[in-house]
Amino acid sequence: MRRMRQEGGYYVGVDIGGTFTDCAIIDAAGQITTGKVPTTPADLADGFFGAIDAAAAGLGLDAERVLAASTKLAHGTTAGTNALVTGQIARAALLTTRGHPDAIRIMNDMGRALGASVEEQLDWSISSRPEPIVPGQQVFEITERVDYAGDVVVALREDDVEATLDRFAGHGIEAVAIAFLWSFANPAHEIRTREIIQRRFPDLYVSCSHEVAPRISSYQRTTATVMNAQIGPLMRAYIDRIADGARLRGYGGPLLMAQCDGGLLPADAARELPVGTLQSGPVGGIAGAAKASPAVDDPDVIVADMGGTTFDVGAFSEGVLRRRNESVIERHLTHLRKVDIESVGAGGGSIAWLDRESGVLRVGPRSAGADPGPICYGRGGTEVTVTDADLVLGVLNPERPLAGGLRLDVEAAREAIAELGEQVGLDTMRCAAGIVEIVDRRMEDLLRRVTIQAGRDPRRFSLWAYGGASAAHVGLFARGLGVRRVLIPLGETASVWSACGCALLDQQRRYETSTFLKTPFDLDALRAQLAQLERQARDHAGLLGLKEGEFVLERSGDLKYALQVFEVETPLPDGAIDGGWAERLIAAFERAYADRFGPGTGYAAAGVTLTALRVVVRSTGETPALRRPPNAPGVSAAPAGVRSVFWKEYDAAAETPIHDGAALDAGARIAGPAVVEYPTTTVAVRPGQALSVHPDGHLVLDLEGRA
Amino acid sequence: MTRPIAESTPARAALRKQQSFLHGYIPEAQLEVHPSLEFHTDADETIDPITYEVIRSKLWNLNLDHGDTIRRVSGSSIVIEGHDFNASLTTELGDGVVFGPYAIFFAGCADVVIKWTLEHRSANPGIREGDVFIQDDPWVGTNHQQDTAVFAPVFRDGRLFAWIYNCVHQRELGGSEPGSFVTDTDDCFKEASFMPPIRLVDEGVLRDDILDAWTRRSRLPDLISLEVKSQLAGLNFARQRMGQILDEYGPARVKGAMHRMTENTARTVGRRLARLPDATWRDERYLCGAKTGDFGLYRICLSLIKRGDRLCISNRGTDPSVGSFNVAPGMLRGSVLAALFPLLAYDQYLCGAGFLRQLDWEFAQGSITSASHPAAVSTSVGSMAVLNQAHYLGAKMIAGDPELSSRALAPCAIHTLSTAGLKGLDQYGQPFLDSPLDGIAGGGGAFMDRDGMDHAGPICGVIVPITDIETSERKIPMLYLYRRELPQTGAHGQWRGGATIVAAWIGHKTQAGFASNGGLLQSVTQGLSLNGALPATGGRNWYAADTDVQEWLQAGRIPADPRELREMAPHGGMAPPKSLDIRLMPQDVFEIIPNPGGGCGDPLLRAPELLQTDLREGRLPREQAERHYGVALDDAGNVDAEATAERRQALRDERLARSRAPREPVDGTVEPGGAETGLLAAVALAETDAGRMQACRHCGKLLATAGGAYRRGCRELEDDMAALSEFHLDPAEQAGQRLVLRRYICPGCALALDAELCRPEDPPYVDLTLA
Repeated sequence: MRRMRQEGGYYVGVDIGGTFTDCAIIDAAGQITTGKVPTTPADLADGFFGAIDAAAAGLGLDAERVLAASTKLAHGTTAGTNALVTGQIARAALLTTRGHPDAIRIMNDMGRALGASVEEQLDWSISSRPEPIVPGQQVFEITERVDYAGDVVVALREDDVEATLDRFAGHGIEAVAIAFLWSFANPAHEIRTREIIQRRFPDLYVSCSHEVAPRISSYQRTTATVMNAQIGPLMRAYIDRIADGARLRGYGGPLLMAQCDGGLLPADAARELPVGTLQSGPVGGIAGAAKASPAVDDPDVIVADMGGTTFDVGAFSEGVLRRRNESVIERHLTHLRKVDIESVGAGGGSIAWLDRESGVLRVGPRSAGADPGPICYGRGGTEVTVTDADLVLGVLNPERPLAGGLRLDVEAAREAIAELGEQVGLDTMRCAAGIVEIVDRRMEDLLRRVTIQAGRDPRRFSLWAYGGASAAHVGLFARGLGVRRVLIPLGETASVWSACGCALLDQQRRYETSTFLKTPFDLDALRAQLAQLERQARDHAGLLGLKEGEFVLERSGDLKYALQVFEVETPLPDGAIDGGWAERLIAAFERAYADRFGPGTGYAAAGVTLTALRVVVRSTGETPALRRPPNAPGVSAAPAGVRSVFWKEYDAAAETPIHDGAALDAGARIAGPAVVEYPTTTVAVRPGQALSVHPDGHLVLDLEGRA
Repeated sequence: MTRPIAESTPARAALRKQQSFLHGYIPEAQLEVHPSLEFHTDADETIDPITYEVIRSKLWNLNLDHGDTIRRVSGSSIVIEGHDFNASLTTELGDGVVFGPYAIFFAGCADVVIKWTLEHRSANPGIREGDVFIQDDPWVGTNHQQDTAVFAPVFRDGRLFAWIYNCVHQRELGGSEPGSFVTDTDDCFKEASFMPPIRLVDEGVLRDDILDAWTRRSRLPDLISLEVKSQLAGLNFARQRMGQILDEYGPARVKGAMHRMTENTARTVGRRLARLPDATWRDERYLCGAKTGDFGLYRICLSLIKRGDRLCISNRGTDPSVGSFNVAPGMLRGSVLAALFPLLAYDQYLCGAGFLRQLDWEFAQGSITSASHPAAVSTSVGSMAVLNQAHYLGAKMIAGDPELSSRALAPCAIHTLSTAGLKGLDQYGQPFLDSPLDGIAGGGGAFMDRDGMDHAGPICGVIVPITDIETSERKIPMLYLYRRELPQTGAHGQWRGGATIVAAWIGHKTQAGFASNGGLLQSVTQGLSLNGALPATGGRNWYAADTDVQEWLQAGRIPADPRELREMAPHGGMAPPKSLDIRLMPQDVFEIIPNPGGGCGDPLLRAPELLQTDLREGRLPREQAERHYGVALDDAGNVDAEATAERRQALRDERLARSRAPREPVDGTVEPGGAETGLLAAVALAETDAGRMQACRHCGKLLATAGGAYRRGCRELEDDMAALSEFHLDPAEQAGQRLVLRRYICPGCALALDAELCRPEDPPYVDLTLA
């Protein structure tokens, strides 16, 4: 039954992943319509508009009608990440301070450990270092030197720059990263070098480290700048293609690109800072949850996204996300500020294997990924995965093809698990249940780390579970945490939740500077630095056409105790910057430090150091409360059928009611054991647990079987 | 089987304690514990494989979180950035079933500390629920005074079920040098004072008197107090989490899983050992520079005696303790265990107890590497030296086995530990003491089938980062002229060591800047390679005072590599060793080259394609390519395979002509690669008509009888170290000691089978003895 909806004022979110491209259209009343199509690697724009078409069809419209009537078009993409992973990147030159060409090779001696599993770190024979992000012959040293205070020690030798440019042609250079020491303290040399380059090569894509990542640590700043340059030409073309396509289809606003720090950047800015789109994938989900949580009275939320290869966990209180200033990308540490999300290699594709040395069953960290994928995909996978176990247990429906039409081969999965089970002395079903138990317990430990270990009391938190595999596992991995409740956002929407979250993000842009002010702070310096950042932020708001009242400036600083390591981001107090202001700032830092690391953990005697200042300009606007209304209440939720499912709780298989999610009504309550199926999401309601349907369409899983 | 616990008697306990304080504590098979302490020993040994794996994973994660709690609370750079700490969960008897991926040598100390406490604290003051002990006595079991163990019993139903332990390098505990590394001393009385296990928390109540006593000796008492509290926070977290796991699974199943973890590791290590022939592998080598102003050579010895599935470690023959670079017995254990983990237990998630179960020990009391009180131990130099020695010898031991050899790798970064730091007044006018840690950014050792990793860091920890240049320059009054890769430095061999870096510093914006140059004398390298490869340099710290560097910089010139630096400052030379006050002002330059990785296999066997790449990528100067590898290049600069083969044959002929004849020649050959047992990578035991013989694995030349010493059947080829490359130093020049590189050459094929750094008059020591 199609409901009447009000046309216009749509928020459109499109999320391009490795396998699927998802679209969510949110109307002014907060109702969501979704579309899912296979990703189109040859031209991602095809999938982009295809997904909008698919979602628009749900409204009885086409993409043009929807786009012409949209107020917001937000896009999250893995295009940049994929380019880096596959090496389909621009041939970039790196210009460094003379004497320092090897920061990206030396990696501050962390190369063996960055992005490596603990198994790889402990066993040197399988240990490795990543290839340098730029080959040695594309690294050029320029004579110049600035010191920590921004003072010029050696003036820029422009003849050096010119001589370097003479060599570009021979190397087929397509983009340039300029990363000089201390450029964020004094950018003059980087700026002048860029001018010289652009005079000779006006079309060359040039990234300067003081703009891409104005933070201390030359290695991390250099990697960020290099990656920006490497994906720059490609992303510029990509963003233009989509922006042009949207315009042609009648969209009148700016295309907004999702950033890993949790905001949206207009296409014009994003094409100059494409590095911000890296690792933005999991951000739409958590940021969307932060936006959507007040409507369902969940101020404090842990999010858990279980996909094919990783399990991503984050948390927020009162809608406020924590961020971290560094990320590991392709085994390189980089200054990429992003929403704080922890990941472990555990997902549907995690491989179960026999540790022959000790005769023990292990799961992960290796994953079969999407290709070849689990054995049951029949694409050549030969190793048992968690998805195979889910299928053999009966949780997944062997009759139901995956999105894209792939049929599951339950017999092949069963055979392989039987063989594995024989080796560890377990029958097939117990072995499959054991695989799930092992992986779910590991995920539980990660959840515990993100809550209790991070000073958060899980009893105050709700757990939001989304992503392809979460709903089938949350009943196990959330047990024992003691969370308030478990919510699967908007049922079937769980599998396209990231696209939905993307549409809800605010526009924001960050201006920051590294500093090094010890107590008592030099207030003149602080005032000057802050004023400069605020000026930049206001200029940006002006460019976006935002008037006073339509944006906020969020000011924060990173502070640390002088003899300790951890920096804590602390909001700057309002008011004039004077002695009292500084005292309030330090007091706020000490509170934040104690919240994060426990009371009495700061060593105040040695003083406090301010290491970074930051001003974020953020658009303010109403966010519709999300709804995906189920059928009118009152209709009973009768199961569509039964299937034999093995439940660990019974140590046996049981004939289990199977429900069609689309037929569930608001207020419906299903007691476990049961399975609820949507086209792209399967919810396991375990024995002793119960599932109910929230009036807005969310599914609420009660682990204690109440409700 | 001996019961693990016996009742103590006061007289015997006093004697044992006295002995442990003097010679170091090594637990006997039977601990003597006061009968008032009851043990919770129920264990379900039939636990199913799923529950086992779940509990194992939970204990691993509990321990990681224990470590994270310490990091969070202490905020210490040594813990967070240096990873110089560890955490563990042990059985009721102190056997550590899991350690964290941090400084691994603590795995060899934790158990002795807890066992000592059981033996000597169970009667008085007693061990009760809620107690916490603290200790940093090197003779009870820690590396040096700074390494402070804090540990607590876990009780269940009134009986002792387990222990939770952590050890953290506390930043400053007093002694004559800030930071508590005391180089210029002959005994521990100038070092930080230390304490055997004392009760810090009394049934849940923190004792202020003990905490004050602990922190009072430090130059930074408040900070040390915080570090202690971080360790207590770690224990509290772990104890609470352990309680939840015990509630959920029951003590018997958890103990059963702990036993199974230990047994699995013991069985795995035992099975791997059993693959090897029963034999003794031995290393003898010189260290140079025991304290400030000392240029003496001292011999440290280590034997790995393998019988069946067990391994006995002996340091008999090591010189008596001397100067400030000694190691107490507990840390010898820690160093050896850390060195052998990646070789024999790389997949065992750091289950120390399982590994230790397969090991036996013989300590040379009073020696450098098993020093008796009151030897000086604070510098850690000896610990790293013996760790490197054990790693080298362990790799040599497994290199002959087809399965285990893939884990063999040559010595890694800090094999010849040198420490360079800075102190004085910083750019903000405050006193400072700091180090950018460039000295640890050395290369990884070569494997048997691939080159070592460039600047892979040391083997003693999992991740040991160096400080970013900008971070250093912001807090230390220094300016880097350069920090770059030195691609030529990896040791020469069939497989090359990983390259190291070079960094040069000048003082910057300081009124008083000084560099320190500690550690071993670099000319006596500890980077001995495996299987006939040439040794890696021990690094090179270089210094020039009163240079023209400021004039250069003002003129727009940066001396940006070692060649340009020497052009600017031709008067520079080796930095004074073991010196703590080398002036570093804006006109002075200090350059540091850390240790590259050791190599593996005779350079004459390196594949021409790899040499081509080495030459192209600047990893090998042409002259050394010709001299060490026998490379011949065509006119286009490419490796000429045919001419190279000829040149290599000529080099083999030259080796035979130039070397000393075998001391005990043996006639005959066997077919190489036939039915044989690998003893070393290049030496095997072969069946011959005359019985079992040791033979060259390359050519089958017989070298010794089965019970003989193959080295005595080899020709001996001696070279000066400084002739190997521009990075190798001459011990005669630096320390006034004449040492040569001696390679043992097969008389048949002229390939090097092994090598050592020795005095010319030293007879070959026996590095391999078949049982």
